Amino acid sequence: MPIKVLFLLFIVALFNSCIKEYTPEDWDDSFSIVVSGEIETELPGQVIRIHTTINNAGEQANLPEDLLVEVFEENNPVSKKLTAVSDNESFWQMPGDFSFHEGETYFLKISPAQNIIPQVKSEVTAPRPGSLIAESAFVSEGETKIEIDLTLEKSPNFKSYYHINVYLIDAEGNSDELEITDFRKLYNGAEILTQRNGILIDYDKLPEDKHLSFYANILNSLDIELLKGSFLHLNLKTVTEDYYLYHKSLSQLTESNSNPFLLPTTTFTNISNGYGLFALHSTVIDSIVIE
Amino acid sequence: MPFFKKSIILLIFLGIYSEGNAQRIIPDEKIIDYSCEQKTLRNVLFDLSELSGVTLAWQDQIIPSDSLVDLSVRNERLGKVLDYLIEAHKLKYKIVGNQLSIVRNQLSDAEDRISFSGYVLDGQSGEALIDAHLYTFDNSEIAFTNNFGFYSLTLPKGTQRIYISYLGFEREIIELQLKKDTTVNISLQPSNYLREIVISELKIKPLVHKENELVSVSNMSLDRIKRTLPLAGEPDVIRAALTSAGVSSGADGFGGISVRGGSENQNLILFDGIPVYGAQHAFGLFSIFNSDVIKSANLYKGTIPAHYSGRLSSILDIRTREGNFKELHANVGVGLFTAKASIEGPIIKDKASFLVSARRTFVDPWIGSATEALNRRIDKEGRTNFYFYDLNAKLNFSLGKNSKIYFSYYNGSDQFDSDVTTRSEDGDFRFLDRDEVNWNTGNTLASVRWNWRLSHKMFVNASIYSSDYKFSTFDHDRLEIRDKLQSNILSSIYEAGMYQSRIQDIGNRLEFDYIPNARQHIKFGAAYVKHIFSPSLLLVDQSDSLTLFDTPILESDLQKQIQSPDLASEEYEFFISDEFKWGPYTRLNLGYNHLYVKAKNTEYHIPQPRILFSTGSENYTFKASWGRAGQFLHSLVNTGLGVPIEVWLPSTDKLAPERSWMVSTGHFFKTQNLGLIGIEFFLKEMQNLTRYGNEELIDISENSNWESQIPIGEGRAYGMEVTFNKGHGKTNFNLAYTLSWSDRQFDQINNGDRFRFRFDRRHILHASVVHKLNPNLDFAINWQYASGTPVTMPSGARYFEYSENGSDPTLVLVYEGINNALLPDYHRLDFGFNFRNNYSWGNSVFTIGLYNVYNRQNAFYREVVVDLTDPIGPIRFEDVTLLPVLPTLSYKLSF
Repeated sequence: MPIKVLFLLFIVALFNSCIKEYTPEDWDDSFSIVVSGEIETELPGQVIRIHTTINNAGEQANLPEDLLVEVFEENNPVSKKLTAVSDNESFWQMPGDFSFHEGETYFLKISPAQNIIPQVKSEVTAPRPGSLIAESAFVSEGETKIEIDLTLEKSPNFKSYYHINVYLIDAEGNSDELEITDFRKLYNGAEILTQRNGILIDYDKLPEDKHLSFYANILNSLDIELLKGSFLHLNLKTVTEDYYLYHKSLSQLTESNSNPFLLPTTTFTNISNGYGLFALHSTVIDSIVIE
Repeated sequence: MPFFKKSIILLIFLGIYSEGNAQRIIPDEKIIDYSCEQKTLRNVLFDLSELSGVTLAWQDQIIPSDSLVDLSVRNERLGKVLDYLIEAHKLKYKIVGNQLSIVRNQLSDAEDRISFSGYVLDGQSGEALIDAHLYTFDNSEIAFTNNFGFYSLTLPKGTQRIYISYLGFEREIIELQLKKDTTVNISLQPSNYLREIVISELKIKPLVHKENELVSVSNMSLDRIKRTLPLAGEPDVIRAALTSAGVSSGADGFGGISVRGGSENQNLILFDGIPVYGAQHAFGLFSIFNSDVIKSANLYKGTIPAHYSGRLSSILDIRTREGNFKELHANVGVGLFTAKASIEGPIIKDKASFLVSARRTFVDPWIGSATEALNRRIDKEGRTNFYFYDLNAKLNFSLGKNSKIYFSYYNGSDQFDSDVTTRSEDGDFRFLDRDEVNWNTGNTLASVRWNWRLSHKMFVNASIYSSDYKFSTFDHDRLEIRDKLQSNILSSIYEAGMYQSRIQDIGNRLEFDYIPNARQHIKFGAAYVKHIFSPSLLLVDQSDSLTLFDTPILESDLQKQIQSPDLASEEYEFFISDEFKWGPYTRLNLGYNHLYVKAKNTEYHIPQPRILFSTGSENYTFKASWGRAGQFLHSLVNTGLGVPIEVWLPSTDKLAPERSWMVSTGHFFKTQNLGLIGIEFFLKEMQNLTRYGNEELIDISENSNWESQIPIGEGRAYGMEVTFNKGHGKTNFNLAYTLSWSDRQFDQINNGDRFRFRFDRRHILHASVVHKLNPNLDFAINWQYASGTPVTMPSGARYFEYSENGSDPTLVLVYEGINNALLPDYHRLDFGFNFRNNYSWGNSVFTIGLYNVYNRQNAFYREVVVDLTDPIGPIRFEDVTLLPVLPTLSYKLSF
């Protein structure tokens, strides 16, 4: 073996010995409630998911059988009780006639009858929907992506946060969500989520023209000619600041916490004594033709 | 020649040699122990003469016969005892040969004082000595030379004895007959015996360093820089600064330095007065400063004197050598990774000199061919290269007796590139996956300085300079699909990005030193600098059609396309400070610095008052200081293209300057047995901090609203520093201990809660021993300890996050707080030997040693490892170490 390679292997071995396993002395093995509740306003009978954390031993607690899950309207002490969906105890459904209204504030409360797990609470305000000013979509021959351009308008809320998804509507009217892959250029205030599809936006941090240009993936270039003339649905979800911070932290968690040069990210939650997210959003769908 | 005669001649020679190199003993410097009660002054004088062996002469009529003395002194100078006894009787003593003559003190008019000034120079090279210490025997008058070797003193008319000392040089004593203002240039001779270590058992007066003066300053002479055991054989001024109390860093010096809890971007490094923005080679393994050209370095870490501004936490003022004014000399040296050479000498003897020094890594061909061979073994093609270099050049001219002009130039760069291709086949297709990364970073510094001694009391320095820091990175990923049989390209997709950061300064400065009398030293001046910031980013892919389908994109293709926004700002500075002295030990420095900053659409005024005070006695000093500082330059770290890029940005109408205020107090003791002991306390609060972000990339182009991406916060730091220095014979021992706390608070980070600053290392200890075994061999041992660096750890709990349709769960680890845990404590032992040889044509130094002797695995960061095939299995952690045990090797020839 050439001496240079031996020398380099020695250096590599020396430096590879510089990775050492670390074992924490004690872990917190207690369990907390996790809420996954992203609710559309003005739509009755929606479902939230409630489960518990998994500890480092891989164990997950069962939810107490007598769990009480309630939603309160602001200034109304009478709650709406959610019921567990019979075939899956993780899902809890709102009463059939109840929906969340834009601009109103609500409180979620989850109370185990016995104090095995602490009571959790959350407060949310339903946002009023924002809108898009202009949008277009086109495909180029030989490409496998659709380029989409849009301009956002500020929502009626104090601060504007959005989550955008794109759906392709085929001739039969079936909706197929497209994967948003990258931006045309770098935009401050907008990022493509890693843990789910779509773009998450802080309107106030966008460049001054509030314009975005991005790509959504299609399967292969042979479909290009067929796509022209098809409809794209731009799903503009106006979300709350909690929603924005939660999904932003999840998206950045893996990257920033393993990079020694970046500030680490904490796991955001708006659930007191628990984790996850309880948030309301208002969706507007714009339809455009692919050129 | 018979042996006996040879021996006699040899003994005589040795005797002369010893005599010539022994410390000269001045009659009044003899040390005595004496006590008496109710004895006449005359008899006391007889006793003292007999005890010390020094002849005391006087006329009887001037000694009062009725003066009775009670006295008890131990280990005291004869001169001081005599002054104590006779001063009250309006008498003084003079040295006449090796005896002391007591005469009437004719000088009673305090205003009858003479000013004299000049330069203190290295007697061998003619170079000016910075911070050389001039003092009278009773320390009633003290002066230090400025950055150009200039000093000024005002003393009573008549005969005056002045002591001049400088580390590594023989102490000089001159006697002057002061009748009128005059110029006195002083040359000091290097001391071979004293070189490299401090001997503090001098019975005359211990060496006084500038750091015993008003401010919290660490003076780093070239001796100290070289004493700090070099990494890979390369002495380094930044690594020497890391051994000062109050200074911390990431593991092994990576990640920048933090001074008294300040952020890494709050340290201003001046290289002959030129601000330096990227002071690192190889990500911090080395600094860009070649130790062969450094004359001195001072680290100001407390309340900074008013003639400095621009950063919140510290000023590292590095001054370079001018080149030998008398003879031509050259040095060549080689270490484990670098080779260097320098040449210096007179252009016109004693009037003009030059100095050129260059350094470069030499292992790059090895890295390239070794990585190429390794890649071949894992079925890849390509190689990785890395090198750095730096070049220093200076020209200096004396324009008459009172004026000098200096030209300085520096250029240095780091270059890394990696180009690796993987080939694979599948059916009828061949795939080519290419991954290319290039980055380069560098500085170009240039200045012209002119200084002029306007009078014995006034010195002026004027300079113009430019500083240009650039960082550029190019990242290119390309996938080609080819037909296996015909090899033509069927499809190609690529992504490429170029990120550049550049800051250019063009400035000028005018600074006056005015010493109107013995009790005051006034500094005042003004400065202007224009900053031009050029951050730019370009991301492209095949849809941009910048190249032909079958042609890979090149770095130069992006270079033609990339544009940067026009970010510029102008900074105006005015400063004035007045240092008042009362007696030998009390000083008060009142200073004010005003910064006015003009940026796009806005302007800021930053008032910066500074107060520094010290008092005490010969063996004790109390210091206190308070001051405000402002910094309108911000820097962010972007890592989006795989490497950390520091981007410098100005304050704008949406991003205010950073500000701080700081208070510190200290107690310093000089003891005969325990050496020098210091203890200092500090408290610092900072506002408008902008260092942090967890965005990988921020677009800083025009109208990009980049300021909104940057969280604004505050910070605080407080602590205690203890320093200890003791020299005994050929051994010197140093210890620096810091106990400190530092945290940050940002509304948008960590739920608005305070969190530990990443350099908040509770305890830091540096201990070093340097021992001279013989004139040709010395060794040094350093041991460093620091509490573990804060790190962010998950709590162990996790859960699954589901997409809207309930599929594709994402594992979410719960992180409850920033920097909520600590890496293991850091400690490391280094040692090294220096073997010196002198030849008729020059000398050599061979250094050998070990860095991290016991191979301590000091963690640089902690990686969280989750097995994605078993996401609910145990979370694992791996601590990654950067530098294991490493040899230190270097060889240097001087001729």
